[in-house]
Amino acid sequence: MSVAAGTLATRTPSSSQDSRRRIVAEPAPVRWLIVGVALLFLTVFLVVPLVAVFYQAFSRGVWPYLGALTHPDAVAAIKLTLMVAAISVSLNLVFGLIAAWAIAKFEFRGKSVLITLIDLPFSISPVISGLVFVLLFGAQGFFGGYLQEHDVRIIFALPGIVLATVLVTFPFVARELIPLMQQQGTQEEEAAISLGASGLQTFFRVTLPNVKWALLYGVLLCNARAMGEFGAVSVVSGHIRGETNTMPLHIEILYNEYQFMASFAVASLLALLALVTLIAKVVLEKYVGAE
Amino acid sequence: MKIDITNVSKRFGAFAALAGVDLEIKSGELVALLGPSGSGKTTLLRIIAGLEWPDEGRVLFDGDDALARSVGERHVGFVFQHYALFRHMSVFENVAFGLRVRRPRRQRLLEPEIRARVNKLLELVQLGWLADRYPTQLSGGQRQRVALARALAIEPRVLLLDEPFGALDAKVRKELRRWLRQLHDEIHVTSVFVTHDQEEALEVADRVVVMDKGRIEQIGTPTEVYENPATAFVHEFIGESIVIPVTVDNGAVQFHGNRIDIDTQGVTCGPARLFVRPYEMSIASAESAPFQGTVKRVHGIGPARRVELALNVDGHVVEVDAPRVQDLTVGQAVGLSPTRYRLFAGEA
Repeated sequence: MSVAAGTLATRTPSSSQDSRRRIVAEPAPVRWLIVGVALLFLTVFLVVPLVAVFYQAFSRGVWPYLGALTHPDAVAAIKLTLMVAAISVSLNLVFGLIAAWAIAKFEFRGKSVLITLIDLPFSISPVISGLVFVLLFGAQGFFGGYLQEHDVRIIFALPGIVLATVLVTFPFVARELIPLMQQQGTQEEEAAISLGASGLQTFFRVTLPNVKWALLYGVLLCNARAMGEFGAVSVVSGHIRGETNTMPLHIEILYNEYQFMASFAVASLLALLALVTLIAKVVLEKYVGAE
Repeated sequence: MKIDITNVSKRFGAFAALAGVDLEIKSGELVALLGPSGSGKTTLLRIIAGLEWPDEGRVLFDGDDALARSVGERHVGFVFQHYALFRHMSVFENVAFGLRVRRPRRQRLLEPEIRARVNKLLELVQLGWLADRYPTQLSGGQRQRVALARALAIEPRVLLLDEPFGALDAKVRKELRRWLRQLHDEIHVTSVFVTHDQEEALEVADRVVVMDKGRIEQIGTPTEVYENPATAFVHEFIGESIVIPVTVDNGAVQFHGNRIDIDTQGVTCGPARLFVRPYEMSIASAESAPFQGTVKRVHGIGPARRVELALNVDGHVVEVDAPRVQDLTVGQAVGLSPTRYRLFAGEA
C-alpha cells in the first residue's frame, strides 16, 4: 500500500516528458534505496580506501612524503616498475595486435582454442603464473642447469619479472581488439588490397587506424595491470631490495617493517596511476564507441 | 578489356557455388549477373576480381591468365555492396588511397597530380563539395558514389560492382542506376555488376547473365532474356509468368487427360509446364479455348485489369491481365487461350 502511495505522490503534473519518465521508473523510496545502497557500497569499498591511502601518505606532511618517494630503494622500485611495464606492455601490444588480427580477420583451424588460451591468464591464479616460470627457469627447474652453465639469470632478475608480467597482462590488448575487429569485418581490407595496397600498407593505413582508440585503451589497462601486478612478480622476483623489488613488492616490505607512512607514500603513486587510468578510460571510451 | 571465363567451378565445403561456368565479356560492355541469392553470382564476381580463387577453370584478361595475378595486380575496380569506405579517412583521402599506395614507389604520382585526379573524379561523381566529409556523414547514395570514384581512381581495366544499389532505398536506387548507365556511356570501362533485382539488370545492362544454383541459365540482351527465355527458370525469374502444369503424350499436350490445342515446341513425352505472360493470355468464350475457368476477382487500375481465375478441373488459380474494355463479372465462366507461350519439359 505504501509503495502505491509513493507512486501517486511522485506523479506531479509537470511536463508530459516528466510524467512519462515517472511511469517507467520505480517508486521513489525504492529508487532512493537502490541509489543509496550503490553509493554506500562505492564509498566503503572504493572512496574510503583511496582517501585513506593519501591521508596516511601525507600524515606527516609533504617533506616526509617526498623523502619516502626519493629513498634510493623506492626510486629503484619505481624505475624497475617503469622498465618492466615498458617492456611487457610493448611486447603485449605486438602480441595482442597479432593475435587479434589473426582471430578477427582469418579463418583457421584451432581458432577457438586460441581464443580460450588468450583468456587463460584471467582464470589462473597469479601465483601459478609466477610459479610456472620458477619451475621452468629456476635453479631446480627444467632449464635451470643449462641456464646456470651459461650464466643466464631469469628467475630473481628482470627477465623473470618481465615474463611473469607479460603472461598475466597478455589478455588485455587482445581482448579489447578482437570484438571490434570482428565487428568491422574484412571488407575495408579487401577494398585496400583491390586498390593495389600491399599487406603492410593495408595493415598500417586501414586496419590499425580503425582500431587505434581501442588499442590505446587496451594498452592503458595492460599498463595499469603491469605496474600493479603483485602475485606473479612476487614469486619470481626474490625481493632483493634496490634490485628486483617492484613498487607493489616495495610497498609490502615497507608495510611489514611498520614503515606505514613510507609504504602509503609509494602506494599513493599506484593509486594515482589508477585514477589517471580511470579518467583516460572515460575519455577513450567515447572514441572507442565512435570507432 | 575482354574477359574470358572457361569452366570455372568453386565449392564451399559441400556447397557448389559455381559449377562449370563459361562466360565471355566483351571490351567496354556493361554486363549484369542476375540471379537469386545462392546462385553464385557474387562468387563469380569475386573470382574475376581475385578476391576468391576457383577450384578449377580459367579466367583470362585480354588473353592473359588472370589467375596468376593477385587482386592488387589485376587492376580491377571493385565496388562493395556495403561500400567498405575507409571510415577514418575523408572522402578525398578515400578516393586518393589507390594513388597513394601505388607500387613501385617511383610510379606514384606527385601530390599535385593526385589532387587534380581526385578532384576530377569527385566532379565526375558530383561530390566535389563533400571532399572533406567523412563516410559516416554521407547518405547511402553518396557513399556508393564515393566508392565508385575510389574504384575508378586506379584507372581499372574492369569495374566490378557487387549489388551496387542493394542497400539503398527505392528512389535513390532508380536515380543511381540511371546515373551509372550514363557514366558507363561516358567512360566505357568494361563493367560487371551483380544484382538480384531483374528490373535493375534489364534497365542498366547491355547483356544479362541469368544464374541459378551455380550455373548460367541464359546469356543475352535484356530483350532476349525477357522475350525468349531459354529455360523455365529464366521465364519464371524474369517478369511475371502464369505457370500451368501439363503433360505431353503422343505428340500432343494434355491438361488433366484432355487434349488441348497447344504446340509441344519440341517437348517429348512426360510432364511439362506451360509458361504464359499475364498479358498474353486472352479471355474468350468458354467452348473453343484450351482452358476453362471461373472469374474469382477483378481489380487494378491503369490500361489493364488484373483478373484472378480458378481453372476448372483442378482449381489452379492464375492471374491474367485483361483489357479494361472487356466486360467481366465475378463468377462468370470463361475460356483462356494463350496468344504466345513457352512449353518446358519437367515438373515444378
